[in-house]
Amino acid sequence: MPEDLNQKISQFLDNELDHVQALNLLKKVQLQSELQDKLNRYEAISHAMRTDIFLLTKADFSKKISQQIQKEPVYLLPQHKAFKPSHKQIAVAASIAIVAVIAGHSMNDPDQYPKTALAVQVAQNQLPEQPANSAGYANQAAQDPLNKRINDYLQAHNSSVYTNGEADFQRFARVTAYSHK
Amino acid sequence: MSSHTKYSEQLDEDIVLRVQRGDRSAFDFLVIKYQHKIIQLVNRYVKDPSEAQDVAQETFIKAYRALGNFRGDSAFYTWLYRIAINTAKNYLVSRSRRSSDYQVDIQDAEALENAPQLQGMETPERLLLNQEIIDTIKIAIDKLPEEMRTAIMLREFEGMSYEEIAEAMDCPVGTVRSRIFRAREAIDNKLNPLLEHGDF
Repeated sequence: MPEDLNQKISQFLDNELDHVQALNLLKKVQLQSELQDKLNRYEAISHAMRTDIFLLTKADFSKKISQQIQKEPVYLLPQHKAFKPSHKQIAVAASIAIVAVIAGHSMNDPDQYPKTALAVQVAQNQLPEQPANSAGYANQAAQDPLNKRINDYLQAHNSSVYTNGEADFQRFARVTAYSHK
Repeated sequence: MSSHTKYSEQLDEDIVLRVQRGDRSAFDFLVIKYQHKIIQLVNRYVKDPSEAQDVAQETFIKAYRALGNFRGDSAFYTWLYRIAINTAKNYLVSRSRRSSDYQVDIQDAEALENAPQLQGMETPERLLLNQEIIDTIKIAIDKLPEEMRTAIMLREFEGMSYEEIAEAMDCPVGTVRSRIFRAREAIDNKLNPLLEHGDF
């Protein structure tokens, strides 16, 4: 039996092996009964020195338990990962919630409509120069049959309920064309 | 907490986690690590060594069955020791019920610890062999070279770590490690003839 392994057993008994070394040794002890006998004897000597009682563990002690454990069901517990949100995540979530609440209020408040219309107008002014007529869009749509069909649909439904007859919205809707490929 | 205790607890946590994730054979590591300590503990309640080992085995089986509920609120060994003590006490109570006409209340299990007539199952032969082994160990220690004797005694009787012993003996930790190992080997060699014929 290699002497360095016996020395490791002596260290293990005294809690002088680190986690990884101890685990490696246990794997060897599990497979080699001579190493297990050695561990049992060192432990018995150590105990006898302190108590005057010599108590030697039977050689087949762990084997018997192992055999019984094989008849028991296997555990398959899920990993417990507690979700702990960071301060940053909490701050971002709070900001999104505040924005959602304010936006909700402004959409539902009838006094806000003129402002919304103004905002749409400003947005239109900032749009790039549109062709005087929609011929450009029509040409583009003609190149893609799907876009043409969508454009036809939009034209046919440009007085949809959601625009609700609002002048600004209608005008905005009329210039809308689907030209994405 | 010393770094050695920390290593030991980390090892236990690692092994427990392996078992809880389905590695049943990893439980062997816990048995190998704690078998002697559990037998010693049970032996304080159940004096017959053979019965003590049976109760210790039952302890480990119970521990395996309960391991799914172990969440690491206490150290594994504390949890295991509690199971061992309860198993030993229950064993004493059930044995006393079998061997006597009167009923013993389970609450009286503590009192049984001090009832030698229920515990003392050691035979004269076993007591004699035990004494012979203890004498052999003492003689072997006396015959050790002084450095080895000092190192093993500081470790076993004072519970000092290798680092503390190295400081006390003014030598490297590696030397302490080697001296303690050689002392154990020397004692073990002296015990060999007795253990080959003894009923242990």
